[in-house]
Amino acid sequence: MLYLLMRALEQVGGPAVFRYVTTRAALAFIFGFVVVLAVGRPLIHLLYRRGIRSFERTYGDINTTAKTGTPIMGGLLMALGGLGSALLWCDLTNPFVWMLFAAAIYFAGFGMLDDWLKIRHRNPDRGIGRALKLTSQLVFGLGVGLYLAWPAISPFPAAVGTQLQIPFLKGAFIDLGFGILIWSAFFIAYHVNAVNLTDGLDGLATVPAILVLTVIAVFAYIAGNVQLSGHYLYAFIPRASEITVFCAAVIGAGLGFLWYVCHPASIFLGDTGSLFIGGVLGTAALLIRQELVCVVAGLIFLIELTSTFVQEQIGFRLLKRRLLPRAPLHHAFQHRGMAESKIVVRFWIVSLICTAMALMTIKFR
Amino acid sequence: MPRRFLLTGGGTGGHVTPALAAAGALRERYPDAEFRYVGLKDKAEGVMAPRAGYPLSAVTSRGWPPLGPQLIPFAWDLGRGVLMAVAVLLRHRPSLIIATGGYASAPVVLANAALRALRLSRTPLLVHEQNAHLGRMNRLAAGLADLVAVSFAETLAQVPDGRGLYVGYPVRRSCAPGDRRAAREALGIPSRARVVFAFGGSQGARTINRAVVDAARELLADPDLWILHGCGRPFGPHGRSYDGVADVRDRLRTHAPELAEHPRYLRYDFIDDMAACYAASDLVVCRAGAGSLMEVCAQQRAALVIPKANLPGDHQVRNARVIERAGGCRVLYERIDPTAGRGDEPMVAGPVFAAAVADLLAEPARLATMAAAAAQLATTDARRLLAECAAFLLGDGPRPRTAAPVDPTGDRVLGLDAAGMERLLQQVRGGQATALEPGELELLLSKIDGLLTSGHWLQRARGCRIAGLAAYAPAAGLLQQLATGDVPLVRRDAFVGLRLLAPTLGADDHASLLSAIRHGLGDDYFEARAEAAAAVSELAPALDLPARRSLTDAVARLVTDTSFEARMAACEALGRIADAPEPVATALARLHFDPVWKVRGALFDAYARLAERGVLPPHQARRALDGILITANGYLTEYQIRRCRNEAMRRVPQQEV
Repeated sequence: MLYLLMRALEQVGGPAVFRYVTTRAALAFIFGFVVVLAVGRPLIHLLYRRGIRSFERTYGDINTTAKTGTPIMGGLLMALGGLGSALLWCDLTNPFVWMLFAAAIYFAGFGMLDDWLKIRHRNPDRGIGRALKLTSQLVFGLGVGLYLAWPAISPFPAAVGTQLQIPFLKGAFIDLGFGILIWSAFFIAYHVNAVNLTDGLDGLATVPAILVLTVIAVFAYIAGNVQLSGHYLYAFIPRASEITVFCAAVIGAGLGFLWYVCHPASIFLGDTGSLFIGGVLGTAALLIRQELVCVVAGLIFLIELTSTFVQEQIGFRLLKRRLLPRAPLHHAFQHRGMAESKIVVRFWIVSLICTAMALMTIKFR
Repeated sequence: MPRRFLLTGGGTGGHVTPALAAAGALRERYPDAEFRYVGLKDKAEGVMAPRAGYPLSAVTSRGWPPLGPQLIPFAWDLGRGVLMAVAVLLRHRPSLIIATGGYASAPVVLANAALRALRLSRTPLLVHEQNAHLGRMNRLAAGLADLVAVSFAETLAQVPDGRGLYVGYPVRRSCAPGDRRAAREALGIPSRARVVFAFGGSQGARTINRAVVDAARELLADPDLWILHGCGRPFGPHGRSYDGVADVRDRLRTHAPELAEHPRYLRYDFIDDMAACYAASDLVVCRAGAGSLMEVCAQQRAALVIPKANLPGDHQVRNARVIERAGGCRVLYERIDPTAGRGDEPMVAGPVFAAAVADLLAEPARLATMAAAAAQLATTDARRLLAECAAFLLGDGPRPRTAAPVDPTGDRVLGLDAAGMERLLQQVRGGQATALEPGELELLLSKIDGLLTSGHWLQRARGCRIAGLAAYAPAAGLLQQLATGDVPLVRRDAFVGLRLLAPTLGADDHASLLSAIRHGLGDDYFEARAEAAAAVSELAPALDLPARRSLTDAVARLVTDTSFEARMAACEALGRIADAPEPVATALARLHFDPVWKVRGALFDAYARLAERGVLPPHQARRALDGILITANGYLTEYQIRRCRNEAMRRVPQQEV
């Protein structure tokens, strides 16, 4: 909204800097951070007073007594900061921004409902059912797929919307055609569930998410810029650079959230947060047409999801035994006796390296 | 204008008897009333209602089927039944409907609800539940009823607010306790004899029949003991239902042919004069249907109750537990024989039954106390109260006021699934819950064999852990079998169970246990290896020297295991089991720089233990301890404030679960 105001002021002699994506991205980033920092403490207190607290759970020998009672629904804080800042600094007439807002509100809303049901039933296993959760993700993914593939509503230049870029190979892509519907449904569900599973230790999901968003922001800036996309041989997607501003807002909010969630956490993301992050990540990656690069950047998410799948579906279901000491992976390290903060920081380090690799693909092809 | 009462309920006799008793009570209060029974023509009510003098209007209905093609005939029969019931209701215009549950009552209950919703009828509905657990049909009916009369106070919690009323079970009028001397004379039993009266309801019960036959020889060895046995005859012409007479005859022929003509073993196909049998007996053996139980209570007899297992809501077990908690009976649970393989029916073994009967008969004072407690339970005037309920619904009287005779605090084990039982036992072990009462424990133990022989591996695994937590020593043999089975997680949990059981096992069990453990130490599943090693730790103090020697070698091999859990468990076990410095010292020395600090933590303990036990000289132990890498990448994540809070929580007394 401020963007539109500034553009209007420009007509009567106001400064022109707000026209630029970079300026607004920086402002959105700072603003998101400040909002979260300012709202954080009162919101945490409010949630605690309302009884929105985490439950004691026992995963085999890992007991969460030390975490019981910490407020959840921290996603609310992050969504508040991220979306608030984006609302101010994004160009609200941009169709990409609409899609991202839709994803953020849809998934945060679903997550909140889930958290609320768990609180109401006083049972962490009685949120929204598995099938319904997955269906909601697939449905939204299909929606994004249509947005990519259907020319009538798609903001993409012809054929770009259905191309799957292959990282590390110059100009290599696969045209999925209407297969993009299945791919995007799968991709959204993958991200939402992967982030949800990763969110098991203080700050474990937040930092990798921030890093992936950074990668997306960079790629969005390149894709939306005629000269840069030409230079780096990426498909030009007009107006896509606005995604950078949105991502910057969420990154700022994420850093603000990290302020509170760093070990020992004062608040948890809850399903509100993990679904919100997963939904935004998946949707943004699809919108800039760089899904595989994002998977590389968020390798931690892939590992966590895969380890859980291997353990539960192949191990427990099929072979009736554990294949890994524990799953998801961070629990395996906890089981070995590694301190939580140590696991988290090590995962961050791995995440940083993956981010570097993802950014490297810009030039290194 | 005379009142018109419509009775419904059935499918089995258990729902019909109380309806007829209620009708009897209503006839006393409204002598000119008209009665009509609605039910299935070819079920119990089709015979019993006309015999008692109530005209029957036939409808169709069917028991709730499992999901599948069976739903089609179910819907067809039920739909037709509801239409027939609508016709009956519109033609006869009853002033009150009394439903006692069972699927036979579904058409009338649903038809009445529909007519009321359409404002075509205002007939009130009175529901009576016989059992301690609200049946499926009555659960539905309770939502549509104006008043729900229950037989056990603890059922009130399952009834929608304000509609439940405790009235008790309406026992037949003819059920007043009879004269003992006269009854014995009529049966030809001497007055100083002790008499056991066993019956499985009018249709007989396989478990009771077989238990009696199998135990009879042992029991009749006592020259003062007489057995009255009602075998039961099948209801109606169906060839499929259980034929008690034939079953008992066959079993006698194969198991105890000499008993067929034994003078102190009186066998009946069907007992016409139940009252005489009750009066003559010292101990009654029966099923835990509400009707049988309440009749026994009204007869003021001590009872040995064998509830039928695996019924909906486990209602017979619930009934039995209520009476047992009040001190009126002893419960003997049906069990699956674990040696008979999977899918075996739950039964009571002859020797177990004989022991329970002999045990009770040996204490006449205890029998008298039980009989008195039982009599207490039957004192409520259920027939009168039911009639008053009807009068209240008809606007002829106030709402009856009743007081529940027993404290409705429940049993903690009842209704628990395997996961719930495990949680409860863990709480007991951890001191967060009080120890199980004997009755609760017996109920829990009765379920373990079923779990251990279950077709689902998750249940078997859970059964192993529960058996261990409950210290159920008879399961040891089965656990050893499962410990060498083909499902990895079951093998692990079998060792968990064996570890917990180890302190309770005697020296004779050790040989087979050791071979299972030795097998487990070489298991290809890492968790099974670790748990087998943990079992060694637990067993160590009880073993003799050769056994310890052989195990030490096997455990020492585990220190090079790829799984840190196994290495850790091996450390702990070696500290407890080793008798000589070698090969332990060499084995443990390989772990001084183990990458996982938990293993090194266990190593400290192992060396300390070895030194304490005098296996290692102190200087050698100290030198070894000094050589262990001390860095660790973990610590206990307990924060001061949380500790304060948790400490305060511990100090505040916990509410009873």
